[in-house]
Amino acid sequence: MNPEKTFVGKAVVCNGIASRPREAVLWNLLMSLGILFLLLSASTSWGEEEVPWKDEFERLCGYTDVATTLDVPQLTELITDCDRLLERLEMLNDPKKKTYIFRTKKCRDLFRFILETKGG
Amino acid sequence: MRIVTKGYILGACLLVFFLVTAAYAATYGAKKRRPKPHEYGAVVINNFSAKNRMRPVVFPHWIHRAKHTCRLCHVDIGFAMRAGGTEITEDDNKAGLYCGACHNGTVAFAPKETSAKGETVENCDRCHSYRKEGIPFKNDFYEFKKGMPQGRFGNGIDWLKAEDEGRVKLVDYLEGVSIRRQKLKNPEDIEISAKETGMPDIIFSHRKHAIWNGCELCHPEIFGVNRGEVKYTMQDIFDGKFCGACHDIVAFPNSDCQGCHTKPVF
Repeated sequence: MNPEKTFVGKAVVCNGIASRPREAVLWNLLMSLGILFLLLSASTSWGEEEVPWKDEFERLCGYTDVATTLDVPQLTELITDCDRLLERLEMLNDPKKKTYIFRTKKCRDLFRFILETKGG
Repeated sequence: MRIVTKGYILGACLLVFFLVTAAYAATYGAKKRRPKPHEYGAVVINNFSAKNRMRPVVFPHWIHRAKHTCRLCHVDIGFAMRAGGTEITEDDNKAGLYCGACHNGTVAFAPKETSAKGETVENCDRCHSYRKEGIPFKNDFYEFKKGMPQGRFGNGIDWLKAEDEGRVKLVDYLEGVSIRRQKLKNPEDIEISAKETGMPDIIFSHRKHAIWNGCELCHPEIFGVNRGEVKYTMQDIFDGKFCGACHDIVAFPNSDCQGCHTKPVF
């Protein structure tokens, strides 16, 4: 065995300095990129779904008193968001969900009513 | 013999009287007893009480409307606009919903409380009070009414004036339940033409209604129509539709014509 060149796993120790074969470096690089990608995508999806439902409810229904001042695209977006929130509320296992479903429907129906009055 | 004949005639007269009365009632409806001032607006809730061997709940609207806006209860807390429409259960109340949103010992009395002496006080009767005498209610309507501007009908209180004069201060926000809304843009008043000749037109105070109710309490559930698209009549209102969803139930009654038909004729 060459005393200056010993194998430790896949790494090669040359004169006391560790160097890796090209495949190993590439493999590690790919793994790192994969983990990075997973972390980034997970954090993005959490960012979308983890807006607490109550915050979303308050955001949407906070517009009811100024709903008449909103334009057609804004009202349409609010109605879509209310429908999306209702789907989330339906899946909750919380005794309070029935009142929040009632309230969200009231907000959505008002937005729809005003949208209709604006001819949208 | 003459006495027997007279008896027959009297019996026949009574029979005719009852038949005519029954026929009249069937055709035109029996006249409802006008509620006493403290009863006006009271709602009997009996979705589950009797089934669970409890007295139905008598909900006194007057004390609640003296403290809160309509929106706080009918939008934020989620009470339906029709009596019995909410289907409140005891579990709901315990979870802090409906009555339990306030009746929790913090905002208002709880179903069970501990007195200063450390004794447990049960307050079931204060709500489940239907046809029960001698309940020691904390608030006496007639004492309360003494300090209020007089109205001609309903509770006998002019609630609009009471608020304008600062005699009642209506709470519109309940921590943990209500949301912070953007500031209301005052909607313009609406003039509605009366259909009856000689009857003054209606000046509908959109602003006052919106402050007490918000927009979503009336639109679209009660008024789901664009202005002028659907004609509604006083008969619809008497039947509890449109304005009749509140007026004649809690808000001043329809017999107070001048409450709505306010536009000067001359």
